[in-house]
Amino acid sequence: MKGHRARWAVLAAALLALPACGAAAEEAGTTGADDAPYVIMVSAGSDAGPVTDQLITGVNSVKAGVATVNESGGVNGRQIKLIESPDNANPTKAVSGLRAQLAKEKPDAYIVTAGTQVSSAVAPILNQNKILFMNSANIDDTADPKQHPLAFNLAASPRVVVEDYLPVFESNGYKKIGILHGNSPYAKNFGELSETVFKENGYEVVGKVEYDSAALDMTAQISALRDADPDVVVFNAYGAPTGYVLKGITKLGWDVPLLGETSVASTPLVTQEPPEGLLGSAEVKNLKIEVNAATVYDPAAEATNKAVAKMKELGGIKGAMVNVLGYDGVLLIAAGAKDAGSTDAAAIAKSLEKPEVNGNAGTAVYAGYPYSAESHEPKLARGTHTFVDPAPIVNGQMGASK
Amino acid sequence: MTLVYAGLSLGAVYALVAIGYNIVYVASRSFNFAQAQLMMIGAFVAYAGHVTFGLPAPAVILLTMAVVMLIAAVLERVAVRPVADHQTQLITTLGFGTVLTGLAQLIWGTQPLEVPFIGSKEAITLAGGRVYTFELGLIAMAVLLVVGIHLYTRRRLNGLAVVAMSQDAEAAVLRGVNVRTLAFAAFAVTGLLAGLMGFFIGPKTFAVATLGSALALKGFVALAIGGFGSFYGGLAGGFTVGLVEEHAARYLGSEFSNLSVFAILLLVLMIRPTGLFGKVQERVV
Repeated sequence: MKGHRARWAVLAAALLALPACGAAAEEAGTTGADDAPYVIMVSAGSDAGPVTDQLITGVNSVKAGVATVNESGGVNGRQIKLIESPDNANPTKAVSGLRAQLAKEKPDAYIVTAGTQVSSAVAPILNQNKILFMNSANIDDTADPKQHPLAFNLAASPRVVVEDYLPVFESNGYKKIGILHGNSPYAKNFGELSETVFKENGYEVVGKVEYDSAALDMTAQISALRDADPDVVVFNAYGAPTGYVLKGITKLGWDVPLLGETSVASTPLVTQEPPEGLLGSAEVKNLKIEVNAATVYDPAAEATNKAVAKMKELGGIKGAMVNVLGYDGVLLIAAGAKDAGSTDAAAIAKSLEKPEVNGNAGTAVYAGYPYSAESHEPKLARGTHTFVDPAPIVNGQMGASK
Repeated sequence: MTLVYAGLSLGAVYALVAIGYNIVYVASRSFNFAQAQLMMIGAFVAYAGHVTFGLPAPAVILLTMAVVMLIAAVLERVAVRPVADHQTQLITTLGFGTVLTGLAQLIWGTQPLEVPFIGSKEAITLAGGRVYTFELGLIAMAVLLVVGIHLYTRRRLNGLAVVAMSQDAEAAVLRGVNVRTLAFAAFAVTGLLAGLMGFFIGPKTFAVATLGSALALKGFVALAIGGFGSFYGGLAGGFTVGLVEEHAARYLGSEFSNLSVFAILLLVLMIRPTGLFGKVQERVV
């Protein structure tokens, strides 16, 4: 009888101890033991319509980041295990994939490389489940640590992209600005922000015209803009609309300087020579495209060149370097974990707000990601982007050898 | 005039899709919702002929026509013939179109590709308006094609047989018309023409995988405005859609471009439910 009582006592003690162990593990924020892999889930796929190239390159950039971090010891000693969600940048599928994964094994971090809608859809679930979120799309919610303390935007703020037009206006004496933009949420935001920033800085916005991204001809929109007689046209377009804009302007015989936003630089049509592309043709004669520093090859940029070399092994980079933000996302996680001495999501997030951490992670696209306790959007300095003549882009960079 | 040329050339592209829809509709009373995708494939094959294989223009035209005709023939055998009713054919042809889009993405990627034009690449000034020569070519091609098809269905025996088939398939069979062969031939011919059209629309729209979905809806609207079964109607419908789209985008804003097109469609259907050139068939029973 005594033996039975003792066994029951041991069993009861063990049962009582189990939740306590679970709570301890939860507090530590880990999903497994210290030697268990650090699980990163990435929105992936092979058919995402017009953004397929961005998605494939983005996922490859995450793979390159994972390989780099694993080679140098992993995330605080834990090797990264990458799980791909085959959602093709479809928000509904991405949410289903994430929920299914949560039911099996909670990931430690989640990365979106393409698709604003995917980011908006998964952000609340990640927040609820206390999962670190590195977001290549630029949405306001994930930039606000009060709403999403574990989420970080990787892309430059649209304001920085727009403000980098100002030195070009200044140096060329442009006073009257025309704006042409698409009708996607990002493009509309670009249009509105451009108008605001240019006016704030004393420039006259003589025309702001929107086009339908599914349209096959831009003659009407360009005619409207030409009638406003701007000194320069600022425009945003990706894929076929870039070509329609350039052909429309050439058709009208309108000799106006064109400043294409970063999405234009990501369109191979303007960075490929004929017969595949328009490089060197009359259509791009007046065009300058906005690129970040990493898009122009620099032999001294070690971190960038290391990332490009890694990505070459994985199939190369389609478009410009702006598509490989996922690489930097993985490196930032590793740097945050190293500083925190923990793989706890909250601890990593706290560390990523420190300039000595977010500025020294060995990132490739931007040298640093200046986050703070007030904002999880990288507050990149003016001059992060420059305007260059269109040139062939090989593996995400201009001036690089094949 | 620049806006008129732009509207007419864009309308010609829609009209060419509508012509393809019409040929199949006249021959078999069904809709081939993969028609726009066949044209998209035509643009890609034209690109491949010019750029990848470096063929001369006449060879590229023959290549695009042959390849797209072959695909259209497969479409008829796989997605149309095994399916009994026309309603189901809407779904199967739509599915075939989706497969074609996926294949185009796999083979040529998702980025737009510049399709060279055989003539001058420069825009010209004509009657005070600016227009590319390939845009004029598109307008001329759409008009000539419609006139040619009209004459063929009025003066050639096979053309008359197709018209007879469209009016009463059973009576046509009793008169010795091989209905199945003609329906198959109609698909093959639409493929042939889609290849030719792809060659000409490529320089305007680029070869891009999303082209099919962009053209499919507007081509159908052009057909509905013009009247199902009428080739002149398809042409008028295409030009109407193109002109309304361009003028609405210019004077009302691009937000009103599609709205205006569908407002015109509703107006036409309210006044003439069969479309501008559609005919009401009366049958004595």
